[in-house]
Amino acid sequence: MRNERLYINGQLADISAGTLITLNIKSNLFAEMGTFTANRTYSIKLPLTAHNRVIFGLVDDITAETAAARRKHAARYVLDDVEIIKNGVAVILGVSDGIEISILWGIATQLAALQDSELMLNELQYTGTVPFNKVRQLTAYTSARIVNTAIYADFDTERKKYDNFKVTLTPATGSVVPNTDANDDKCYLHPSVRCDWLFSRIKETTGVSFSWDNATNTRLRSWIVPCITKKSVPSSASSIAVAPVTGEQETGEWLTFNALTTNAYIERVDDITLRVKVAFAGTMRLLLRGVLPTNLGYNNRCRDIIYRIQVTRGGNEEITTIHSGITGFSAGAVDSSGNISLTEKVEGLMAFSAGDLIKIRRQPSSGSLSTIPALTGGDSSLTFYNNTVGDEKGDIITGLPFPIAPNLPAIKVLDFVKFIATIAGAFPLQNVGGDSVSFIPRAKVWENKARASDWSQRIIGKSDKPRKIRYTLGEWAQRNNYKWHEDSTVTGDYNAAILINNANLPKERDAVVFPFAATDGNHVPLYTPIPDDMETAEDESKQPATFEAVQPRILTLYMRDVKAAARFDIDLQGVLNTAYAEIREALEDARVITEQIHISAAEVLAFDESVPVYIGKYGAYFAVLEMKTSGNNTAEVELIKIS
Amino acid sequence: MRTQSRGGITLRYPDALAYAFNRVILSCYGGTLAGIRVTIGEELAVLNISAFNNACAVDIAKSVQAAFDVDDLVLPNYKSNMAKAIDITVEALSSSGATLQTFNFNTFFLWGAQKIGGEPINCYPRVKWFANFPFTLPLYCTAGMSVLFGAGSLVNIQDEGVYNFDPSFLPDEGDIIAVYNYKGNIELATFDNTFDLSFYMEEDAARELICIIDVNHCATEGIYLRWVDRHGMIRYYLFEKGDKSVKVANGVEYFRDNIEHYNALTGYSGADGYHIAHTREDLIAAAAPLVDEGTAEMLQDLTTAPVVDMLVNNTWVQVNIQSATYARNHKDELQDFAVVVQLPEVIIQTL
Repeated sequence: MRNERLYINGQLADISAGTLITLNIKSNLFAEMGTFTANRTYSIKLPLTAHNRVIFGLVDDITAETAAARRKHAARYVLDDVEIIKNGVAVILGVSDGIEISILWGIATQLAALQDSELMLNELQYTGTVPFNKVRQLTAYTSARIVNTAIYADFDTERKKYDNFKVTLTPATGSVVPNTDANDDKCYLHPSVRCDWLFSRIKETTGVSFSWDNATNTRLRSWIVPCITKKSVPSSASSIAVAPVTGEQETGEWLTFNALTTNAYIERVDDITLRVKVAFAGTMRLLLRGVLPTNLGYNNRCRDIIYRIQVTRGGNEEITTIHSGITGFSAGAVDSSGNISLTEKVEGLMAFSAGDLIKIRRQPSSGSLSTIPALTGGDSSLTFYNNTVGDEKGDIITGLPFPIAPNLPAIKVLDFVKFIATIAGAFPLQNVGGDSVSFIPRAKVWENKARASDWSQRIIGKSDKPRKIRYTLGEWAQRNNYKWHEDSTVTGDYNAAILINNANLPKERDAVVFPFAATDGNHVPLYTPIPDDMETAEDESKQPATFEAVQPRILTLYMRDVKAAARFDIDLQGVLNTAYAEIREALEDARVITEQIHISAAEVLAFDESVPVYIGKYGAYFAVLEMKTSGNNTAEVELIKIS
Repeated sequence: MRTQSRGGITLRYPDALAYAFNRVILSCYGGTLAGIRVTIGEELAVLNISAFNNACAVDIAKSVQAAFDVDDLVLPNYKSNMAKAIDITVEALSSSGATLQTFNFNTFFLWGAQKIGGEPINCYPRVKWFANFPFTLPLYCTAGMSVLFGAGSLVNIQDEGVYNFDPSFLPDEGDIIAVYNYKGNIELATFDNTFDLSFYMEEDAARELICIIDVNHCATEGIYLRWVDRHGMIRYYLFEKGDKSVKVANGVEYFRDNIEHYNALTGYSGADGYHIAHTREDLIAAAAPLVDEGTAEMLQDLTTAPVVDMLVNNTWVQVNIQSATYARNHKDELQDFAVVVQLPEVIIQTL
C-alpha cells in the first residue's frame, strides 16, 4: 500500500489497493492561447465503501436527491506525507465498480471559476463614474499613470474618410499628429481605463489575482482600454428629499422641498421650485409618507386627489398633469391618538429638458374640495431615475456621469487575460498557491538555464537513447496567424504570424483572433459629426454627432503637453519575433523525448516547470513538458530539447 | 585517454587506437565552456553538446560506427575495411556560440570491441592455416612497420591499418611459421626454416614475435567457415562435418472449400483443411575436435559473429550459427568445440 491520503470536501476518502492515482503535471510553456491546461489526475477509481458513498452524496444511487454529480468538490492529496495537491477540484466522472473521479489542480482552481461564469469585463463590480462633458478634460499624464479611476486620454474619435487622416501609422516612434479641427468638440472623448486597473477590478470581483513579470507590469500601466460605448446604468438615481407637508394643505398649494444633497440632475431654486440641470428622460417617483387623523374621513377623499406636476419650460408655463390619482397607497395601523399612517406613491415616466422648472401639488380632481388632508410627519422623497426602467438602450446624456463598468468592452475576462499573456509572450505556472495565477515570459525558461538542475543521475535508462523521440509538438503549424479582431473601420493590416520552418507541420492555421481590434494610429471613430452646412445653433441638449460603436480597442498612453494622450503602438510582429523567438527555434527542430525518472513526492511538489533540466547522457538542456507520476517514486516525463 | 589543453579548456579524448564498439568518450571542461561541437570524419556527423557547470562529456561511439560501410565488411581486402582512421574536430563554444578553442585529433578505430580488462590487438598468439583452403592472416600494423614472415619474407607497411595477408606472403613450406615485427634488414642466411625454430639464425636487428602460424597441409574436407571476430578481423577454420538434420515446420493451414470435388473414396473431403506450405531448416553439426583453450577462445567468436560464411564449391555462402550454450569443463586440456550451422534457407513453394 502506498502512503497516500485523499481528502474530498475535507473528509478522508477510502482508497483501496486498486486505486491508482496517477498525477499528470503539465507545463504550459508551449501551450497556445486558449489551451492552457491545468494539472490533472487520470481517472481515479475509489471503492464503493459506505463512507465514500456518503462523502460523494450517495451519487451512485439514482433515486437520491443529490447535487454531488453536478458540482465540483474540493480535493486534497497527500503522498508520502507531502501534500502534493492542495487546492484541487474533483469532478465525478462516473460510477462503475467504483466511483471514478478526476482531480484538477494548478491553474485550474483559479481559472475554473472564471471559465464557468464567463465573466465579462463589463460585468465587473465597479460603481465609479467620471463626468462626461462636451469639452474635453484631459487627465494629466503623470496622474493618468497612477490614479485609481478611469482617465481621459486624448485620442481622435471622429469618424472620417481615410484621406482625412493626419496620423502617422508608425506605432513605435509615436509620431502621431493629433487631429485638431473644428469637429473635435463635437466628437466626444470617452474615458479609458488602464489595464493594471482592470486587473485590480478583476481581483476585487472574482478574488483571482494575476501576477506578471516586471516588463509586462510596466506595460500594463501604459496600456489603456477606452470605453467604446456610452450606456447608462438603469438604476442610477438621484433623489431629493421632500419636506414634510405640515398642516392642512390648501388646494393648489405647492409641495415644499428640502435643501438638496448634491445632485446631477436637479437643483432647488426655492422652497417650491426645482430646476432640471440636464436633459433626461426617466422615471419620477414621489413618495409621501405621513399620518392622518382618522376622523377626517380621508378614505372618501383620497380617491379624488390627483398630483399635478407643473413644468415650466423656456419661460412658457406648461401645466402637465402626470397622474390622476395615487398609484400606490398603503395604510398602516391606527395609533393611540387615532391617527393612521399612510404612504402615497406617484410614479411615472417623464422627459425633462435642461432648464425646466418643476412644481408639484396635490389637488382634488374635480369639485370644490377646498382643503386636502395633509400628511404630517414621516419622511417623504422625490426620486428621479434617469432612465426608462428596464430599457438598457438608454445612452448617457452629455453632462451626466459616465458609468465606467457597464461601458467596458464586452470581452470575457479570461479572453482578456489570455490576450495579455499572448502579447507578453507569457504562460501561467501551475503550482502557485492560493488565488494568484502567476505568468512568466516564455523566454525566462531559457534564461533559467543558468539555474538548471542536473537530472543526469535521475534518468532510469534502458539504453543510450531515450525511450521515445518525436519531432512535432502540439498544434503548431508552419504559419501561425495572430489576428486582431475584424473591424471595418480599421484600414491598416496589423496582423502577424509566427513562421516555423518544419515541413512536417501542417501548413497554416489561425493561432488566435484577439478580442481587441487594432487601431490606425489614435483613430477610434466613435462619432460622425454633422456636416457643416446642416449645423444649427449650439444647443446643449442636442447631440451634434452621431454615435456608432466600434470593436474593442487597446491603446498606449503617452504624454503630450503634460496631458495624457493615447495611440495604438503594439507592433504585433515585433512582439512575436522577440517574445516567441526561442519557442520558434525549439519548434523548428523539435526533439521531444520521453524518459523515466526517479522522483520523490517532495520533489514533485517542488517541481518548477520554469527551470530547465540538464541530462548529461544527451549533453543537452530540456524543458519538462509533462510529468506522469504514479507515486512509486518514478515518473514518466516528456521533455523538449532547448538549445 | 589523451589530453589537450589550450586557453584554459581541456579536452580528454581517446587514445590513438580505439574500438568503435567500446565507449568512445570525449570530455571537455574548463573556462567558460557552454558547449562543444564535435565533427566526426568529413562532416559524417556533427554533434552539439551543451555543458553544465562548464563541463560536458559525450560518447561518440554510435557516430563512429556509422563511419564504417558495413556492406563490404567481410571482404578480405589487403587493407581491411574494418579498421580506419577517423579525424575528429572538437570546437569548444561559449554561451553566445562563439568558438573558444578548436581541438583536432585522429584516432584509428577498429570495428570491434575489447573485453573488460583489455586484450592485445593481435590477440591470438597461434593461428591455424589450412593450406588447402582460402586463407588470410589479419594483422594490425602501425605505419612504417615491417612484418617478417618466417625467414625471408619481409613486408614493409606504409600506413597504419589492419592488413589481410594472403598466402602469397607466407612461405610455401614449413609447418610452423613465425610472424615477427621486424626492425632491421634481411640478410642472407644459410639456414632456412626447414627445421624447427631452434635453428634459426640470429640477426642483428631486434624482432618481436607477433604470432605463430600452424600450417595444416593435409586436410581437404570438412566445413570451412570464415567469420568476423570481435575485433573486426577475419578468421577461418576447418570443422569436421557432423550430423545433418532437417527441420520441417508446417506453414499456413488453409481451409479449402472442396464441396464440388467431394469424394469419400479419394479424399479432398468437403471443407477439410490441409497444409499448403512448409518451411525447411537445414542444420549441420560441425566440430573442431580436441582443441586447446586458446583455440577454443578464438572459435568462440564464431558463435557471436555478425557475419559467418561457409565455403561451398569455392564460393562463400552466408550461414547462421545456432545459438547455444557452450561449455568447457575445467579438467581436460583438449576438448571438442562443436557448433550447429544453420544452412541458408531452402525455399519451398506454397500454394
